[in-house]
Amino acid sequence: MHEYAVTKNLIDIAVQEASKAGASRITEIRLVVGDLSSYVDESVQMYFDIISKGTPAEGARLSFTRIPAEFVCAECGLRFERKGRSFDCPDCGGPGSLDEEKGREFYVESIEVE
Amino acid sequence: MEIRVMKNIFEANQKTADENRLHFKERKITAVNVMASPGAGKTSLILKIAEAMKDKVDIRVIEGDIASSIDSEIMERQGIPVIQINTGGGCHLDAYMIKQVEEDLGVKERSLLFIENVGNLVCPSEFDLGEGVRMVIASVPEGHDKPYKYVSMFESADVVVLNKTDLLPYVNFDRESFYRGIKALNPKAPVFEVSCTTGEGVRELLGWLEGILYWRTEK
Repeated sequence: MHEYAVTKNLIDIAVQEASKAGASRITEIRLVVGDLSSYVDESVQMYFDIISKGTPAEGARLSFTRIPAEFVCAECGLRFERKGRSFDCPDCGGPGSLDEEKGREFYVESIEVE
Repeated sequence: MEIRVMKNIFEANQKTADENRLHFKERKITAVNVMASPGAGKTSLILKIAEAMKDKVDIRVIEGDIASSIDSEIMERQGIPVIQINTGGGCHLDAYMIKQVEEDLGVKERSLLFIENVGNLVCPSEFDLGEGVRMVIASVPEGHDKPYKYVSMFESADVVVLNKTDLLPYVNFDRESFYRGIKALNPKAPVFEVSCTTGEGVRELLGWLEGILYWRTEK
């Protein structure tokens, strides 16, 4: 959701960084998106194509690196991504615990300019 | 040429949220961001808490809704100072909205501020308002699977309230599954079972809230 607002933000960030480097055109924007954030790549791309017109980001390629949410089994220590309805360990069935550090990311990692 | 950026796309909201948080901390305002699905009991719970605590602490409310002043009118009738934000379509409150209305609401030092967010289990969890406490309300008729479906919301909660426990005999609510889900995501958050209708369990929640007043102004 809010792909319009976040797309506008990411374009602003990219354009600002390009301007700081004295570059006139952005050819690629690399994004890191965690699975727990509710953003849909295709929607971001759609808004990007519209909002970037007339900016140095127009025509840039968007690439998305997805970070999955990870769980750790409290019993056997296995790290896993959740399967289906439960957070239980796929190996031993023990209770999984969410790794708080992963899955909520949403940042512009880098841009390519010329 | 590659330029490394590493900038959070939410940085504009985060900056304002951090300012709000500092402001609340300096003035010892306990700001509670109340989030839940529509109809789960946000307004009812705030009213229940206000009724019990208003002689001990100044309580004010920021009401967030897409449209209408239904909830803020209910607050006003109970004598609770309230300000209504209508987002006009926005599905969550953001830090800037809170910053704009807080002064108009006249929030006092050493007080309790409830921010009733827009009814939604998805978006509000992504927008830090600068609150000190995130209160997520689930309700029995919604079913026990909400923690599994709305991971981000339940994971981010400081306290979870399970409302409408008076309906447990009438719906298929698997408490074990619900608690297992919460524990997997958020083992630290206390869970309080309440019924705003009967008043059951509210006293325990009040006890917890009183225990964290004033010093729980930062995360």
